[in-house]
Amino acid sequence: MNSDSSKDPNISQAYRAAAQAEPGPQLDARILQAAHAALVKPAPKAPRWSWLKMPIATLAVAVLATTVALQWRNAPQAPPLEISEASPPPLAMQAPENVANKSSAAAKPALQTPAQRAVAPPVLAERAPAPTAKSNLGFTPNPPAPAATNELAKKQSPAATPAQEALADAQADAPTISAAGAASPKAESRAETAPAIIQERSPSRFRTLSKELNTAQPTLQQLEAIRKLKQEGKLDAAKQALEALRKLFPQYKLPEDLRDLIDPPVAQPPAQ
Amino acid sequence: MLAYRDGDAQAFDLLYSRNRGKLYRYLAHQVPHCADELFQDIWMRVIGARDGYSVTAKFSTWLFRIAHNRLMDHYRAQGRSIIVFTDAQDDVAPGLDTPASAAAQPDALLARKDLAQQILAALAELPAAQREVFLLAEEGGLSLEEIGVATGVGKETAKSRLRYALDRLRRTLENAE
Repeated sequence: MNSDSSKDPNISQAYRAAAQAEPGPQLDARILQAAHAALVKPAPKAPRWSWLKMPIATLAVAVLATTVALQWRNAPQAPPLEISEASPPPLAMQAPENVANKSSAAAKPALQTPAQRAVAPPVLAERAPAPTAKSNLGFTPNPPAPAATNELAKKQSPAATPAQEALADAQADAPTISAAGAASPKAESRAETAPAIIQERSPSRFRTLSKELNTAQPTLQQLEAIRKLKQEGKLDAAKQALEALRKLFPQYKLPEDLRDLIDPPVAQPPAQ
Repeated sequence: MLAYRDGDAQAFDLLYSRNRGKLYRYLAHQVPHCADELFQDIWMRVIGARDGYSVTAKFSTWLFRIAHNRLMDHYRAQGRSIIVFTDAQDDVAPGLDTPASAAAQPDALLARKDLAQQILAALAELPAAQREVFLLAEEGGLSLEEIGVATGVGKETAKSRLRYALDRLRRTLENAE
């Protein structure tokens, strides 16, 4: 008997000996199968329009890609890069390590504004070769398109004064430049041919700068400054400034009145 | 059962293996011809009640309550009076409402020397309510309170039914010896 006297041990023993009935294995299998099947929920039926999923998704992607492409093409160009001496531009110029790298580096556009070039000569001569690549600059002596001219003038005008100052500085630093050029002609040649590798953050800004470089030329103020030096009789200083200018704009055709500074006319023997 | 409710099929296998024999014998000694059918039906109800299962009592109590209800439905479907389950029948003389068949009459059973068979025969002679209480106590291992919960009666009623059942079975054993 248990605690509440609900059992008689003798009767329980006799009953246990007699009661041996068990469910059949087939019955067990049916019940267990039903129990397991109850746990497996039937997969939800796919809606009727499910077969349209793939075409609709493909169409949506195509429309989106087309829209983005059109937006990209028609998007207004980013405002030109504002460059000042106080805030250096976010461009990183790196000199190629050897000549073998020149070809690969030349493929990359060299980005530098004229104002930078005006400021940069002494530094460039010391630590890096010339910032432009001939093939990329594509300087044309013809005046650029009016729109490009206006755009360039906008950018160059605020930098005109720094350019003049740079020319004055170039006059003071001229010995350094010439010394560097004489000491390492290899570096000088490198400076003429090797492009600068510019890391630019924005693709639109990159396009804008590339366009600028294709129409780059020295400003009138720079040329006038050299003329002024020449007129004042400071021929050496004018020559140094002109050489610096030529390094920056190797494809620029110098005005005739300034050519004699670099290539003095051969003295003609007096006529007999 | 909670594990099975949460998706553990192995938990049901264990639960079934523990209770299959008990429940089957509970049914086989009361409705021997329909034991398989009711057995399967009861387990299907257990499976169907899986989602809404919450712990209110021992699983065996819950299981045998389902079995009891299913058995009542079966008796109703068979047209048997459920008066045999009322408390008023508990104190009547044993045998007046015995559902045992003619083959299970005491004379025929006593003629057999097998004690086990005599016990089973005596069990078959018991009134249905007393037999059920005895089976719930023996097979289900339920206490008097749990038997009361499973059968929907009070503890004292269950105790009274069980006492009558045990007395009658005891007499059967004494006669056999």
